[in-house]
Amino acid sequence: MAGDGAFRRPTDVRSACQTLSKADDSVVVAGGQSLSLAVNDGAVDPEVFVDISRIDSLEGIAAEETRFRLGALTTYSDVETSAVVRRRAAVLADAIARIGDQQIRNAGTVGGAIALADPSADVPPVLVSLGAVFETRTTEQSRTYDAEEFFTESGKSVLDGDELVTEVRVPNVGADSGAGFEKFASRTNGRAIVNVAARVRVEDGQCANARVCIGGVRDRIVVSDEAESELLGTGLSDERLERAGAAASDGIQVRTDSPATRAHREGLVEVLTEDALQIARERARDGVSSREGGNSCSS
Amino acid sequence: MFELTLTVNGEERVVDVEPTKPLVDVLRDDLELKGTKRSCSSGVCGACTVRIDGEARKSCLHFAGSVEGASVETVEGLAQDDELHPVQEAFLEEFSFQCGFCTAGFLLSTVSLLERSPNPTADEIKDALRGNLCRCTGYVSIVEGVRNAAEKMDATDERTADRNDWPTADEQPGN
Repeated sequence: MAGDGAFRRPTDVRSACQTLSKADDSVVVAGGQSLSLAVNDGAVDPEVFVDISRIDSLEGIAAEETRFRLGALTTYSDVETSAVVRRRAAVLADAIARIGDQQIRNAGTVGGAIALADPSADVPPVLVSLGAVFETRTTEQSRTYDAEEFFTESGKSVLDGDELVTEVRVPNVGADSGAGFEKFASRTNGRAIVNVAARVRVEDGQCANARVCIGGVRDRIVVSDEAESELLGTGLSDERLERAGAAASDGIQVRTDSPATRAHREGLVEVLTEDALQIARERARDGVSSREGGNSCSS
Repeated sequence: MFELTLTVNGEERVVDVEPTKPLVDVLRDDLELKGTKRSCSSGVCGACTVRIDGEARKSCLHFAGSVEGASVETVEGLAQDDELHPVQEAFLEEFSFQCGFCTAGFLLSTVSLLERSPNPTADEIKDALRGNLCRCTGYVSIVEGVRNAAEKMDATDERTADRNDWPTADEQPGN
């Protein structure tokens, strides 16, 4: 029956990777908020469970000059209550505050969210829009990936069987930039039907850089070049944001039809893109810089 | 099977269980603590809420193996000797329950909330209790129970939330 697998609780990353590499069919247990449902349903039934919650080196939020680092075991509630995150990338705390509920946020982890690679989840599009970098470890080596290249088709990621997400590195959202997040779910804080993470950088009153990342429309996050091209070089007027929303909606091919129809999702993409961009624009215009030195995102 | 050691309501307990057994079942079946309830079995309703190492958690979403060595508080641990916990007294005074099935979960979530935020606003209460659903009360009496408990537990008598700030039907937690 499901859940009969061996259960290991390594206390360091190396042992965890070794255990993962030895079993053909192993699964990592972090917060367990998604995994336990899948195991109880019988959808996931591995040979080995590798519970990493005792690995101290995966904990903690570290502030550096131009970025901050989140250990893979950083819980959603750690992020929500972090002054470092609020100051340097408030959008991440905003998105996380709208995930589930207090109990789930006390347990769910950032590393787990990334490894799960759910195309409707809220954390991945935010991290892609911020140009985050993920560090992973295998038995052989340490690797890094840009968030945008990490999530592949069919809600999967580039992770190998023995590869563990260890850290997320997030560049500060600089004084000249702003980032926003919006989602629509049928229950408050429920699973998104569509979500949008947007970031803009403004130079001399004009948009020098923009990124619009959309989840919930197909089996992977969509980065909307169409929205971006409506914004670059413009003054980010209300009309421009409206056009960016429409362009985002026209440019995507929605491939999911349930529980919300394609037409509904297309409409949501348009509205949520505009709303997320409004938040991003206001934050960029506010020009609040991070106290520890806000260099702008370079990508 | 493995030997699971847990501190439950301050007492060390040891049981033999499958490591992927959900904590809610360990509590109810192996430890005979029936106060924690299993309701939706899908991590939504919060009737299974306990405190693990001081944090409100849904016990149906935790494997036994993952909580080895942890300190767990259930509803049975709230009253001390013959004295109810202030949150229990407050819920009684405000009649913050009807069938009582969700109540244990609400009590534990409330204890955690008041530890974090001793004088919560109505919005903070609603947000903190979003993971606990009640099909009987309509939530107003529960929010009043939480506010009553905050008063009991806080030194000052000041209410931060105005009486007119009660949640409307659209704003109730769980909606």
